[in-house]
Amino acid sequence: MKRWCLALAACGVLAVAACDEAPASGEPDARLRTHAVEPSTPTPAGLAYVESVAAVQTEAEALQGPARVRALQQGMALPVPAGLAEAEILRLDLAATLGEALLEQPDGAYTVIDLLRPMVDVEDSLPLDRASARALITLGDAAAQVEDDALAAGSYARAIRLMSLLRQELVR
Amino acid sequence: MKTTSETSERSVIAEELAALGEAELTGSDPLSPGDDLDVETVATLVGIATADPASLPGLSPLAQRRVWKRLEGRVAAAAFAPVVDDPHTAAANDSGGWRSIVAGLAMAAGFLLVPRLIAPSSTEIDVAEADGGAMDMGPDARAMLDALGDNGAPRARSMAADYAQRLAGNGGNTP
Repeated sequence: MKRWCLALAACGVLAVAACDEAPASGEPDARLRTHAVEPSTPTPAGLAYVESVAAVQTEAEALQGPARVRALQQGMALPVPAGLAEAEILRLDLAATLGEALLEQPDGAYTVIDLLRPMVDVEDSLPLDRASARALITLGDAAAQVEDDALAAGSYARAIRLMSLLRQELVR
Repeated sequence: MKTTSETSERSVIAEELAALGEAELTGSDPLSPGDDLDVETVATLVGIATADPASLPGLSPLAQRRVWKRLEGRVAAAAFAPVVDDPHTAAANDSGGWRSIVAGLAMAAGFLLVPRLIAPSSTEIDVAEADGGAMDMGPDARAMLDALGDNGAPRARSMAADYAQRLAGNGGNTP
């Protein structure tokens, strides 16, 4: 029954969100603004960062538990070179990977919410990229774990809207 | 005491039930002037999509029967004759809020069905779980995400390789 209520709330939000108006307090907020991420001019510093993130993700694949979390946290701490637009996508995907690892830890859901909520804030524009959707879904999973139904429904609804936009882009 | 519009509504429903060969409308049957048969029909279709029609809110047994009869009628009519809608049922509603919720349900049902149709077998929805829990937005959203492409390490490696290639090409703007 709880799942049904959550799904119903998310579905209702999908319709309301088309207006992108702020909902009443305590209700799911599915406002979504997106922007396209254009490839930046490649630089050696940019390459070093992108390769470092790839190395961190690859290393984390082979790890489990706290060691995996630590490796991904180190990746999140890497300084981002100026002008590297792709970093926005890489950091969201890295944060989603970290969030998924944290969700396997005791009480990790609260940490995930603290990590991801500001990164995909409803007031901010998100990259029109599947990394944004992945971060939103992970946030939704965390919110569902702690029974924050409004945040879960809003996050899932935003993820679905974003992926719908992505599908439309792919069709064009 | 019934209002004029309610009496009129009951009269229309009675004619409709008679045309469908159903039992007459009784005084105990609930009558909601805000109900919209099109909305109820969409809600029922969404119920089918979610494999849990029994949990649909706001559909009385009479309303559900009307919806099914309408669907059956449309199927039969499509096979033998053109369908002529009753304009009264389309116009008689003031249920904007309910309509928006149902529109949302229909949208979500569409979104959820798309990956079921196009996703590879590794990302298919767990049918047993769907049967047990109506809709579980998280796994379905993940199935949609997986259908869009790689994430995590494989994607980071791919982006790194692409970036290196662009740098080697003297800063071309190929995505």
